[in-house]
Amino acid sequence: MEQIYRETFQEVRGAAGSVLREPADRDAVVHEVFLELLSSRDLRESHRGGKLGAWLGAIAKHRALDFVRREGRLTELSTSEETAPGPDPLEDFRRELIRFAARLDPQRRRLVELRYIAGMTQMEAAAAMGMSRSTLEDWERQLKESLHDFLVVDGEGKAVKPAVLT
Amino acid sequence: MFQHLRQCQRCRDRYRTYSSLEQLVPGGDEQARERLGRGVFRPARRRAVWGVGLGLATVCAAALLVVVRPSDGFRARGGSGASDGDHPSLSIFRVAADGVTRVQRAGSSMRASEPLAFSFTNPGAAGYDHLMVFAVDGHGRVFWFWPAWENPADDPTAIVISPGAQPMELGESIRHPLSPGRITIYGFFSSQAHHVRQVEAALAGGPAGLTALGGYLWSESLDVTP
Repeated sequence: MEQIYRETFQEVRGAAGSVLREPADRDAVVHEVFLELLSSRDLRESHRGGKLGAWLGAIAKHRALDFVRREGRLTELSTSEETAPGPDPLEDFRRELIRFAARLDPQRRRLVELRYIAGMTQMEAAAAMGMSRSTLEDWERQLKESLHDFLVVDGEGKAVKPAVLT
Repeated sequence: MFQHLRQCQRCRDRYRTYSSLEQLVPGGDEQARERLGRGVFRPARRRAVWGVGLGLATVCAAALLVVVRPSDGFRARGGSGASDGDHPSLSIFRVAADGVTRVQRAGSSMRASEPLAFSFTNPGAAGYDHLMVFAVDGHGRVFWFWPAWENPADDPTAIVISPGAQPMELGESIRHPLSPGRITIYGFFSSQAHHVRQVEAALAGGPAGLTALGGYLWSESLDVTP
């Protein structure tokens, strides 16, 4: 079962994410689908062959649509499966991240650029910045908190909490 | 957790931030898969990580008890479990096929294949509210019991504990792939939620390095036999 989980996780998460843009909701559906697969013999026996990932993906999509109806979170969504997907929420997040980074001191801005824009590992980024990985990790932890505050407090262009900002 | 996330906007916001960052770093998808997988498969098995980057090691949860509650089962089988004066203390239990056996003070031994379980006392005067339990072998390898360190990309923090002079159980027994030889088991009681990496960095200078982090360090050595 764990192997099935590993092999199909991306497909299931992608299918849920095509309907639910909110990560907490998307991952709740992923969790629900795999839990049901694990606990429901009926569900497992309803698989009539074919690619397991595609089958689970379809289930995840239906569960996501059910979730939207149940929770009433329809504002940004269409319940139609044929509707073209909206803008990628991760792209929106990247733009916000760049806006956040612009307010940081040069060192921390570089950290954001190396880790979250250039996609370096912690080891690579630490080497590039001439610091230990554990120091970089501490900075990263502080940055996550500041970013969270920034996104929540500054979500509509309001004030930014100072924390590690210049 | 997801039930809570549905209702708590603050946590939803935080989840969005962290999850989005996770998607931007190398290996982020795998991290997410492991993270969510723990919620799906947690009741069946538990994994932990050897310290200092030695990789993933499988451990086995041999007995599921309760998370943290006043102990009676351990005490009844294993002795007093009394606290060491005003200091907090740890009791170690070998979980064998025939029940739970309390590991005796220094000089005791355990088999490499035996899972270990723990209970602790935390007298109120000390006021510690976090605990980490780990073992260090003769090669300096660190084996985490509490908190579980399941994903090398994570950096979990100390578990939260309550004050109390009566023994409280930590609710799972855990087996690590120990090698025969001497190991020392530590219970690090602190008022802060230290991270496992922080503790491992402090341990690089020996157990005395942990004192710089504050708190109280309990330890006991065991001989691991094949």
